[in-house]
Amino acid sequence: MAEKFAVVGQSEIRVDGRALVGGQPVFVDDAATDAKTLHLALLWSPHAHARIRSIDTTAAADVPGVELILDHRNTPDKRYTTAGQGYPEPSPYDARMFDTKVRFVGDRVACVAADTVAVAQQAAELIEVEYEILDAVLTIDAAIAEGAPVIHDETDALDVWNQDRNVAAHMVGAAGDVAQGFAESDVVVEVTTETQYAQHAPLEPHAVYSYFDANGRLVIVSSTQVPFHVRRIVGRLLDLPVHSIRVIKPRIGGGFGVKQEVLIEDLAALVTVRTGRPAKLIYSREEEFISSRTRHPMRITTKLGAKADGTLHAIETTALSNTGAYGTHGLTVLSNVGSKTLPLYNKAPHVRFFGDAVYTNLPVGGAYRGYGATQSYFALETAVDRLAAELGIDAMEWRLRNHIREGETSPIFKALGEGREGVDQIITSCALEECIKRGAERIGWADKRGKRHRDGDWIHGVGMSIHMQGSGIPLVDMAAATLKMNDDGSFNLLVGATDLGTGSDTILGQIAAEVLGVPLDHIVVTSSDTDLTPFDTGAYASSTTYVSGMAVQLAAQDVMAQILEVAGAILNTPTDELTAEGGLITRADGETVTLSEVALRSLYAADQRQIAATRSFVPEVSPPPFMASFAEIAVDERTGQIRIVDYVVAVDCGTAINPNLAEGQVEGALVNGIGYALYEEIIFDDKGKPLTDDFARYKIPGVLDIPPIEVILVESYDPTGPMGAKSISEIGINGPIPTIANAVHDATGVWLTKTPFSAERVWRALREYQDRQPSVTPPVRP
Amino acid sequence: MSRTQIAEYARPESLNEAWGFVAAAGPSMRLVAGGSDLTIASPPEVTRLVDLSGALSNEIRVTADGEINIGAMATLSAIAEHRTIASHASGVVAAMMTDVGSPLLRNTATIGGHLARGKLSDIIPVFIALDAEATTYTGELHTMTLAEYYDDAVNKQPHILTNIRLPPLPHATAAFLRLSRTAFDFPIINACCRVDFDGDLVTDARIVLGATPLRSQRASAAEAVVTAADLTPDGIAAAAEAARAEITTKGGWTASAEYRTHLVAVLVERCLRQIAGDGGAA
Amino acid sequence: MNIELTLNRDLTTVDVAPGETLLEMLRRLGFTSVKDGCAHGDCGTCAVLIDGRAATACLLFAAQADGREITTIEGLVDDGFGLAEAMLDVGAVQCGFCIPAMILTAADLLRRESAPTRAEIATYLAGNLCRCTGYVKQLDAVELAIARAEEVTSG
Ligand SMILES: Cc1cc2nc3c(=O)[nH]c(=O)nc-3n(C[C@H](O)[C@H](O)[C@H](O)COP(=O)(O)OP(=O)(O)OC[C@H]3O[C@@H](n4cnc5c(N)ncnc54)[C@H](O)[C@@H]3O)c2cc1C
Repeated sequence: MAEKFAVVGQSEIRVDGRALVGGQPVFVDDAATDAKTLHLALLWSPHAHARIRSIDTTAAADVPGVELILDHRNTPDKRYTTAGQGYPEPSPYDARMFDTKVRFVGDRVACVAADTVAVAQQAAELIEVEYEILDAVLTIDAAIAEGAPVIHDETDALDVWNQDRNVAAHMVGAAGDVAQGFAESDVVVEVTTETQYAQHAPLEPHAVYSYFDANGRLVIVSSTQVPFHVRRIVGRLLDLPVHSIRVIKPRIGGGFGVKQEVLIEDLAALVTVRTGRPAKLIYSREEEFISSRTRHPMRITTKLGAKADGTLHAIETTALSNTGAYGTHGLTVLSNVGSKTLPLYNKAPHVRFFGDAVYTNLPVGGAYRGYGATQSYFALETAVDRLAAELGIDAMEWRLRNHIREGETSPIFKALGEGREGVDQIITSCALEECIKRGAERIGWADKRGKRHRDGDWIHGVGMSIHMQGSGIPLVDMAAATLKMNDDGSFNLLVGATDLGTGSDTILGQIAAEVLGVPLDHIVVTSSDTDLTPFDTGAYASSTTYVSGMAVQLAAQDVMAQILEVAGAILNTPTDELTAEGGLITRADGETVTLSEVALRSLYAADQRQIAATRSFVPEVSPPPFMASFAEIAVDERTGQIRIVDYVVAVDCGTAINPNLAEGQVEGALVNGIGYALYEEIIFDDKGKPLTDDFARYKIPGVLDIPPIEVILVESYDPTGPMGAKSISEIGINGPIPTIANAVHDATGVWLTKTPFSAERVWRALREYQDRQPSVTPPVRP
Repeated sequence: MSRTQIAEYARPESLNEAWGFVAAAGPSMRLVAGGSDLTIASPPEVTRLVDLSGALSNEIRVTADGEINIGAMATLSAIAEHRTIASHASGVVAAMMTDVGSPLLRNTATIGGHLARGKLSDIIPVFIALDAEATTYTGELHTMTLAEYYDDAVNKQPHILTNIRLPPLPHATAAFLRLSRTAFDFPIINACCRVDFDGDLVTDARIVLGATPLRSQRASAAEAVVTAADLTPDGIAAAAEAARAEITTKGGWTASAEYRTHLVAVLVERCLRQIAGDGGAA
Repeated sequence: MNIELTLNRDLTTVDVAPGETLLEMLRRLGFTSVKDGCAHGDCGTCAVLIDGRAATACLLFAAQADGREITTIEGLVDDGFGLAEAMLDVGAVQCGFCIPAMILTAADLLRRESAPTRAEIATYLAGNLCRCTGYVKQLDAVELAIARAEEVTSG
């Protein structure tokens, strides 16, 4: 029941677009820096696991131009988490600004502040550190082995599940009794998958600039997804009151979750506090790879049990997540492995999720688009194809019969939240069936599935998978919006929400414009400045459109009510007899008053006041967007190379506030997912040092690597969201791994269980598969 | 990594003047052609740069008999876009060039810089297969085959590469194939085959493997298999097998030696099939 | 050392350090459209036009620009082929970090070829990485700019 909208549903041009295409100075590193600015350089640990015996900074400090050197001896020793999450963060407090122990190659050892970058780097190289090298834990299995080296042996860490056993976090959620469920099932399949270390690789690396303003307040300009969490976390860490800190997020060059971490703001802030001078730190690409955050690699086992008629009866997912050296997002990503996947097949009365996130001496996991769901869908959606095959049911048909629908629920919603219990919810919109049908039609499922069309050495196959995600974190996220009216009938919209390139400033402006009946250019959007804009938990968990959008809608409705009140006074009419459209308030007899007249009256003439409102929104549910993902692929039998021939996804995101931007979210997520499925991987040497520390070695997809992609937006209307909208930013990344794996099976009979599906890995799998096939003599037919 | 120690930048106006810098200097001096190597990473001992743009030609000249003479400063794009090169040896150079890095690289990277660098390359195996000759200057000019140029006694000694010559190959058909993770990526392995025909008879052949990941290697036994016969499916299969046996490969983190060796045969077979006209799957 | 170059059509003398890259020089001079995304020639966000051809400014020494013509997006005034508008119209801009370089690279192509195919456009943009968009709308945008230019010439 989509409503008719004027501004919403239009592909409006981004409000920040012209500045971006013109290359205006809108990013952190573009700010003209004060001549007194100190530039920071870091000394990173060369060892995966070591205790720092001593640090000698005398030679470094003697370099002319060096102002300050920070290490564990002169910095706060509080434990904290770099995860930019709501307070109290569900991640363990297991990190220090600088510790006496280093836990991965790329862990912080010291930081030099100097007049130039070159001097700072040169001085950092002169710092002498004596390490006591400890045995390193480089795999999940090594981490949980009996007698494994203990990575977090400190006594002051908080909320670590089991320090002695290297378990950072643990999560269970269940309904029914899976043992009974599997016993009662006619067909049971079990799949174990493994996913690799990967990096977000936003083209703008982490960047921060800090200074004291004229009034002595600390200003932190940061490339962050979470300005308000930066303010709180830096304040606590450095013992600075929140009122003394202002965090500004300018335009940022992509985030994808990696900027939901407070990674460098503390350093710049402390340097400014200690020296009084501005401080700047821009990560190099190498630093972005070795010492920012990654996607948690996981080993996941999913077991499905079904009745002979195909009805799913039991699901169990067990996950081992590698959280790396610190536990940031360890628990919540782990929770999402279950919570964002298992409700999809809600017909099963017996469901169980069980998982551990373990420490290793490898880079730190973090929030990465998809947030555990991406890893989990590999196991779940390939298990579904195997189950359907065992049952002799077409994989698409099986999904149509078993997926969740509008008006239904799943016990997992309540059993598994973000690191804690979740909330009950009923699905209030679901166009998944239509997504599946339209995607299948477009890819040619009926004609191509199971046909193994051959073209030279290339064998074709088609595969699919279906997905859900969420829209914000219920009862945790909070967003606020302030809207105020100007003389000319325009409005300032102030939001704490963080546009990281997604276009949220634009779509939030569209929501306000829609309610107020004005074009988008009458809404001046200001976002993400902790002094000027109201609070918002930040851009993560697919929350902005749904949560911040709702706050905007509420504020705009409140402002509209105030406008009608003033208009009623001008027109001498009760407000309920007025209608608002196209910047005019109209009385039943056609008499009108303009918004500007309303504003002028209330600002200057009678009953003077600022027409304005601030409204907050806390979601009580998290309505999932849904997606059906389809691909036709071809496998080169002789080299193992996979070529994606055609990719189609159909997505139900509720109302698409801005269809172009919505499609762009899906296309971008999909291509990132394709890279992750096929080649993106951080590779380590046998001492835990990453070898893939630049874009020459860590390959992300380029324009020549993308297949033809079609995104079909299947409209639904979610009554709980702004103008019927849900979310769209993350879900797209979940498709490629299982869709491609299922298509490879369709083409070759091989089940891939380990990502990335590199040519060599596929070649080996094909060879092994052929070796296993009994050599059959073809039956002789008369 | 740092380039701040670089204190001098010279741009000599003649080859002789440039050689003056090279002859006088030790390891503190480096030549700059396109500039890509040293902008990415300058060893700490490098303090002086000598820009070759004023000393060397970037011209591509074609003689009446079809010989192509390429000045060392010619960019990879200029080579890829050159009319004669586009059809030389069935267009293999132009086709291969689109696999080298990206247009943004090829528009400034030079053939001289690429060949002097001599590392992991898509161009070298093709140029070896096309019997390219290199001319160097060490106070006097020397001309040699590209394979000879890669002798450490030449390549690792101070020299300036001035020209590359591609001899006319009117009877040649050639093919180049590579495998990489993404399109804009260094090759995991590549192969170039060139076959000279007299009617259906193969009169001469070059089979060169690159990115094994060592320097380019010629598969002479495989060449012998296909020479002096028609290019038949059996001959192609035998040549691929011979190449697999004779080419040494090494493993690394992008591919194992076993996989590279397997690919040697696949790529050689596909190149030869393409040449034979039954289009080996690309 | 001083170099003399034509920077966005103005003959300019710039004092550069011998080891400085063209990227470093341009950013130092305030050309914020030229981004530093990797400094190794891999991402393409620092692309500028050098004598009309798009190239990564991080892979050249500033001194190599002596005597040459350098154009950044700031200098692409009436020869931008409507690419910027097209990028905005189709929604090809997300974070915008890669966009100025993407536009310059496409402009270099369109200056030499008036009607490249989608595959040819993709081949020329191969070195311009984007992590946000998946490239679909960026290819759409270049095609739209070409179509609009054709309409103008034929109409
Ligand atoms: C991002 C990127 C991607 C790449 N991808 C590929 C690829 O896919 N396939 C591939 O084959 N290659 C690839 N390369 C390698 C690339 O082709 C070479 O780096 C480039 O061609 C070097 O050319 P240049 O003119 O910039 O050389 P420069 O960097 O100027 O010089 C290279 C070296 O040679 C020396 N030198 C230069 N000219 C001469 C001369 N005339 N005589 C003697 N010595 C000289 C220099 O001192 C320097 O040591 C890639 C490089 C980069 C940066």
